[in-house]
Amino acid sequence: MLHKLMSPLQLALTAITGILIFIQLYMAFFYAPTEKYMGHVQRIMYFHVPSAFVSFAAFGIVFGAGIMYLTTKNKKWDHLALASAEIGVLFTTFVLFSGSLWARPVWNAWWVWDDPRLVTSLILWFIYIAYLLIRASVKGQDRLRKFAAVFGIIGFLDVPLVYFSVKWWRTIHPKVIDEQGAHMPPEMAQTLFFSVIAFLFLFVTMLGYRYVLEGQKEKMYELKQSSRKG
Amino acid sequence: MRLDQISLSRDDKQVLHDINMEWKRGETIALIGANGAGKSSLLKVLATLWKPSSGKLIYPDNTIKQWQKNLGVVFPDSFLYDALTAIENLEFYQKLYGGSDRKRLDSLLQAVRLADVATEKVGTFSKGMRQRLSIARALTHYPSYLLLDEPFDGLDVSSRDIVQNLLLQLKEQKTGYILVSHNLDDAMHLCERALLIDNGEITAESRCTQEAFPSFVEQYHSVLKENNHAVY
Amino acid sequence: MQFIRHTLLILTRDLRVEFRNKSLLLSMVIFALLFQVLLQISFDAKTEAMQELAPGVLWLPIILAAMLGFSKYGSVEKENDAFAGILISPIDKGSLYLGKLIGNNLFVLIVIATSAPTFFLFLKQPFPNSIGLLIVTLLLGSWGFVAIGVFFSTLAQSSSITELLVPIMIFPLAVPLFLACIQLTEMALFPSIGLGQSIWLLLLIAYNILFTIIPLFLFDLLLEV
Repeated sequence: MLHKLMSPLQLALTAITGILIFIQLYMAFFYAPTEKYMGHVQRIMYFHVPSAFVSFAAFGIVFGAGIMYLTTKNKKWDHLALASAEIGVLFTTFVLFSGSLWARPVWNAWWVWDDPRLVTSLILWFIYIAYLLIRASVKGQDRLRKFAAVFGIIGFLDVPLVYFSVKWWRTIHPKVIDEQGAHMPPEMAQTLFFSVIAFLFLFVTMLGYRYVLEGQKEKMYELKQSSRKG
Repeated sequence: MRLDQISLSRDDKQVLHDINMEWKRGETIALIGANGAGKSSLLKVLATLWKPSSGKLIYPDNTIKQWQKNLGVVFPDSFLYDALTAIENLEFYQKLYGGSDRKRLDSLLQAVRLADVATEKVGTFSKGMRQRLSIARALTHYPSYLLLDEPFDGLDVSSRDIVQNLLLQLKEQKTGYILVSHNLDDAMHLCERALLIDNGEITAESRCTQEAFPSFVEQYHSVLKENNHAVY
Repeated sequence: MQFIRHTLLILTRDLRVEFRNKSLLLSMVIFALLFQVLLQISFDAKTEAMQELAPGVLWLPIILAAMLGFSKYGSVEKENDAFAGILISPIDKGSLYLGKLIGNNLFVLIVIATSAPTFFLFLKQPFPNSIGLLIVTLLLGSWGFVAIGVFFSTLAQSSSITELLVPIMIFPLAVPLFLACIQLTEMALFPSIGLGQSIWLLLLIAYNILFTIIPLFLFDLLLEV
């Protein structure tokens, strides 16, 4: 029932996302002006920052779905958490990667330990890699789902602690995005804002597909069982 | 204790299908079935070790903790600590259930004929001694329900007699138990009722009387034959 | 009351078993000492360089020795499936957590008691600036790390997750704890312009409370089937 209702919605969503991403690419490469000091490298920001937003949203969903799973014991929430975590890891990887690319010419280093955002992203990446490894270790057990949910919740709660500890660790660090934000010409700000929206749409679309897939896997599994029973 | 439409899946396989059964206080039930029929799985569900995938367990006092308190369990794994002595093991489990009554432990060790090795480490025990101690371990807190998964497995004749007598004694004292066994004679002598479990379903039921039992035995043998056909 | 009695029961059982075997505690202590020596040799400590490295050299052997403990301490429960015997008993499983936490921490404290003096023996500047702060840091740091370690290793064991995953799970989560410990240790060891000492202590305390209280209440829920 639900799947039949879902597909036109999903189709529409996919189409909208496609259009949005197309516009976003245009804006990022042509509409936004070239930055005075950094040059074209600065355009990475239109992909880097939205990806960071997406990964944070994704892990927020892992957290929320984990709580919902523990309270309702409905497997749907568990599927959502898994789908979201996978996409989150994907985007976090991209965040780290694009950040490095940007940092090399601008900060003259691939990596700096001084920036709390950077280090937090890395730790975040490790936490959710661990989450996926837990998920991969055994299949189809309620205890495991519960365990994964707990890990997802605690991992998310740990993020602010990581952020602040890294921040206090090096009290002198450059405020990267904020300073730029203050001097950003309107075209840049518009592009960045639009990019975030487009990426969030992309995320929701991907999440929808991955979630449905997980539900189908479960159905498949149930079918296999009932065929064995018969 | 009642089981309502219990089903259970483990690792991509459904092991129990819609089990309905009732277990009255003090009732002794034999659970008979071929290997892999789901007997042990059913016991694990009753022991609260595994949660059924669907269906409901209706506990006599409505709470799971109360049920756990009233339950004793003898599984193929003895739950014993090899580094501790026999008496330390019993003491630990008794305290786990909130008791502390040394006399009870001594009399249990007497009953399973292990009193003279009470202060020796379990690591040095033979299979039969472990099995007997495991039964004593399950009884430290005067459970009114007992789950026995093949308690006679690997016992020599004298150990067997000890355990058998102990069970008969429990039966007289109105301690209910569920006995999983391959041995139909045991079922007949030690239990009031027998259930046949096949492929995760209860397929037959009988009272353990001279008149009713033979037809149950017949059914069991036909199930065994069928399974053999399926295998070969 | 019941809860405390069960906690003590679990604690005494574990300690009795472990002290009877002795092998775990001994190997933890020896490992920490050995690792300590290895670190000192490999950094060939000059006094100035040591100022930067000292906190890490102090903590790493302790952390890794504690890691050894998580998987092995209470592994007697795997013999004869005794863990199942605990799971089906009516005790509040929070007491299982607390008992293991206290026992494990005791072992780690013993490791610290041997490893930390050795550290000062090798270190060229033998007296810490503030011994009180150092002791507080060691106590709080080890408690917090053991708390998170016991929580996840016990849960992993009950969900049949491989031991290999335990360090991968707890190290990233313990990053704030590590940072706080290292910072405070540096302040304790050397005279410094020590700003922000209270904020690190606060972080450490918050972390400890979080990872002691949460498992205590969640354990029963998580271990029930």
